[in-house]
Amino acid sequence: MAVFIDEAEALRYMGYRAAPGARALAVLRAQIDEISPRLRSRAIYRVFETERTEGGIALKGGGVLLKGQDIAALLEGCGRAALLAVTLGPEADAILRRAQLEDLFTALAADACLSAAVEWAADELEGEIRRELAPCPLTMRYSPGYGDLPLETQRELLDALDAYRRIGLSLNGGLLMTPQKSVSAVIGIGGGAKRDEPSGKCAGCAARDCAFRAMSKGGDGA
Amino acid sequence: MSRFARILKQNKVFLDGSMGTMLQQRGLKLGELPELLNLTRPELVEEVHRGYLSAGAEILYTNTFGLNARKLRGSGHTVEELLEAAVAVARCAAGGSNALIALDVGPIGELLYPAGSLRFDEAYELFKELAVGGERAGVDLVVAETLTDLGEARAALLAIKENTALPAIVTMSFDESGRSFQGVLPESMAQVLTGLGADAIGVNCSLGPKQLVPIVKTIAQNTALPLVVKANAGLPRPDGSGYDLSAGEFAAAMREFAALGVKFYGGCCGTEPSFISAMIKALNGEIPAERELHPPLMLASPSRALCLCGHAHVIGERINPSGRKPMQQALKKGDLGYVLSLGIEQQRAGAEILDVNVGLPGLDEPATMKRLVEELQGVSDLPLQIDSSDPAAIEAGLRAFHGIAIINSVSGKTESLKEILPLAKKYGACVLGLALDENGIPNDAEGRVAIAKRILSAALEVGIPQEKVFIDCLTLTVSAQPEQAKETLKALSIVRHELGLQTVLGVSNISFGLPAREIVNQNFLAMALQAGLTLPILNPGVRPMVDAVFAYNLLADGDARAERYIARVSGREGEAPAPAAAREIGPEGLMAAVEAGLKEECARQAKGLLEALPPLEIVEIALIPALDQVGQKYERGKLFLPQLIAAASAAEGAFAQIRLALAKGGEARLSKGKILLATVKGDIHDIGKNIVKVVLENYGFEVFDLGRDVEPALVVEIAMRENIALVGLSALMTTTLPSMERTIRALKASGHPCKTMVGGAVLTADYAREIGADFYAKDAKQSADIARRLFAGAEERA
Repeated sequence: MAVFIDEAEALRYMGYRAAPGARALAVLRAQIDEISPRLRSRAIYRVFETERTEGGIALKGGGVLLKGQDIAALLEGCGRAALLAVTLGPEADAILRRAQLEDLFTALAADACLSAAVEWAADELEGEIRRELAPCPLTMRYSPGYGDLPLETQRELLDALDAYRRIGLSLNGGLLMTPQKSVSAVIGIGGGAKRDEPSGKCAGCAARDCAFRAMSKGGDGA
Repeated sequence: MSRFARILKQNKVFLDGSMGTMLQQRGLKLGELPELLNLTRPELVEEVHRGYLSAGAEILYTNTFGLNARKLRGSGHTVEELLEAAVAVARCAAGGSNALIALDVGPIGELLYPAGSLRFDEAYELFKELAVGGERAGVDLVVAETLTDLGEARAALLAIKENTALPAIVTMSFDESGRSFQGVLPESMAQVLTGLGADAIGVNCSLGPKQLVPIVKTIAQNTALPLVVKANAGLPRPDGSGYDLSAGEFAAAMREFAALGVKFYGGCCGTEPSFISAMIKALNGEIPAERELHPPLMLASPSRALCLCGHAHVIGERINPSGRKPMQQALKKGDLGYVLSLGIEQQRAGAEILDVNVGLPGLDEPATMKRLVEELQGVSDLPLQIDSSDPAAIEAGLRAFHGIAIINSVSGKTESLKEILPLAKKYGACVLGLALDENGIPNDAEGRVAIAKRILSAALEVGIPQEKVFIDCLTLTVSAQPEQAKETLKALSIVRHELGLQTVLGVSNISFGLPAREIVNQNFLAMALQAGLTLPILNPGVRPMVDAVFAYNLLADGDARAERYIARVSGREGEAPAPAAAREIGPEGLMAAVEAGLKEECARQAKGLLEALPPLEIVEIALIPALDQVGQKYERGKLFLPQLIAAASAAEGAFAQIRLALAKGGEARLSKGKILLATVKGDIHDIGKNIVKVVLENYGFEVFDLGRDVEPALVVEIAMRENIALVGLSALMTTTLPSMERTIRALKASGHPCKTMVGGAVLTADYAREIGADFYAKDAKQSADIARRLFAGAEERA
């Protein structure tokens, strides 16, 4: 699927907290123009029934155990949960590698564009899930590594989605998602879902030391 | 004759359908290893095999798709144990029939470097373990399937061919875009795997038969090998309940492949025995079409295929250290960034093939070639020309390159032919033959053509197809040997038009020793193209030379509707002259340019200043004060990270000029101290480290950048060899922090006296202390402060 790069979001990822200069803006816009047509996103999701167990919340038939208090609180009252993953693919990483060799500022702009793009793609997927499951209330999306949800959950999550086969998304030995510009997450579904609002509010996020927290709409660590 | 050779004589061979789908129906859960069932529930696996056997399958794939040592880590089982069990189950199921047993090998499940962290050699070892185990267990062939990375497919195929006598089938998966998830083109896949000696190739999974037709068509045009199609049962239904084709629909759609001359027919995800029996019935009586078995000549990378059929194409010559100081220095430091940027620049300038030469006295050429080729593929999709006089370096380059390369070069010397041609054969590369031999370069065209013929027949003898033999008729300096230019052109014409071979020529040597060389070069290039030159080697940075090639392609009717020519020259009229409002040359002008983040202006200022001031003084009076000013504003919150980076990046523009001046003047390198930087093993996010690198270089430090995903042992080795005083390590994720700790421990254990500084998103000062780092740097600015304090202290003590 084609992706969209929001200029304001990209500026935020670059670290601007005030209006950028004309030259910086020109560099960013050139990157948006160059990168956008070359990007495609691939996305996948799957809905599971949840089951509270001693070790955490199990996704039935998915081989996934969600551990930690934060995810338990989020999924309180949710009889089901969706796993989702989206990636911009290896081309995005190659764009970034090339940009870093050419000019560092351009690379910073490219990196920000790609982060904004994958977030946009994740928002789109989340929107699709919301439409698909309407009128069920849904929680925000929550990713491994947020709060006390262990990063190790990543492997089970991607396995349950068959993400390598379906969208070419895998983990390296250090549990980093490859391709890098990818998002994976859990969304709680059901009558008891506490926060029926699209992702993007810092309030519900346990990543309290996140650099974007004060000003951001949220973020999946992309 | 082997059982596989016998079955190849049939005009159609029927494969089985999905193992995974069948096991899931029998209770296999997501996240469970299907391969464990070979041990725990062999009767289930056997039942699946027997189902396919009675449906008519002639080759059974073992239940080993996900089996490899990496995935089994921590499972308590070994590859050997599960593999033997799987083969035993399949053989038992096939008992009494003529069915062949294929060892099924799937992707490792991690992306190959540089997209991920899995190295080619690691993938090779994992595949080797499987292939060797399969042969021992008595399989008839090995099938590597569902691959999306051509590098991984090459690793699998090489592992099978180099370690067993088994036939190898390789099938890859493509999506609706017509490429694999990793961007691989079907034509590249077909050409590369054919060149590397696969026994049959094709597609499996990811799409249904209908969607696979155009992909299989492309593959069929690019190989003479038997073709394999193992399609899914259509596309997945949106609700996740399975696939959209019934057995009958699947069978009807599979019939289409007979018209494409496919030999092996089977099913992948979503297919069951009923699909296979329906398919066999539908294909009954169909005789696969005869195929045109003359694939076009292509150079290729996984994601780009360059057909050599008409146009002339530029080979960029700049990745070559001879006579190029900055590249020599970069190679000696092991810093490939500069070399890689030469690749990107040449591609932007119009090169379609990159020559890669790393020959430098004292350098481990095979190792450097391997590393450079690996990295280069991560930033450029151009086919490569592997250029070396050392056969070991050539092999290292060919092995690392996942496309169809050109070998530069072989000559008419017996020794050279004996060493180089087998490499071209083994890796499916094209080979460039130089028209010279033991007696040197013949003076006349006839002599050079005779050598070309000799090279050609030697190549044919080892099994290299004629079209993969290229000839360089050699350019001699016209000022020294005025009669030679026309001999070169005459030989070129005969080789191209009478032998029908591709011709390569390094052009600029013609004008050596003459004034206004570009005039001679351009005219010689035009004459050579007219005479039949198809692959000029030149510096694409000299625009008129590349323009001449594009113009030639246009005029010689090789460029339909002038599209390529117009695309190249469009927008040139609008090119901006230098900004008029630029400040006067002076230290203040340079400082202002740094702060404003104006890279070109920084370069202009530095150039101007260098006419009056020694290089190092410019660093002291303008660059460092400007960076300090920006740094202070950043710390006070008046500027933000992007402005800091813009300034550092702009200052780089000035440094490029200063380094050039230092190299020209033969002065010492700019070095206020040596710092090693690396993103630790397992971590591949390196933009933070790269920012630190530029900032440190701006302050005059000499940085040894080892890149990302770096082994602790390599950090220790370089730190000791280069006597590094400060090592900076970066890690992004909590899961790669242990790797950082291991690196610090290894440095300490080595006894090499150096300090360590660490940084990265998840690090804190406390944690840095805990893992034994000497310094914690919150950002690039702090890392520069730490380095300045450390090295200033060292100077005072000294």
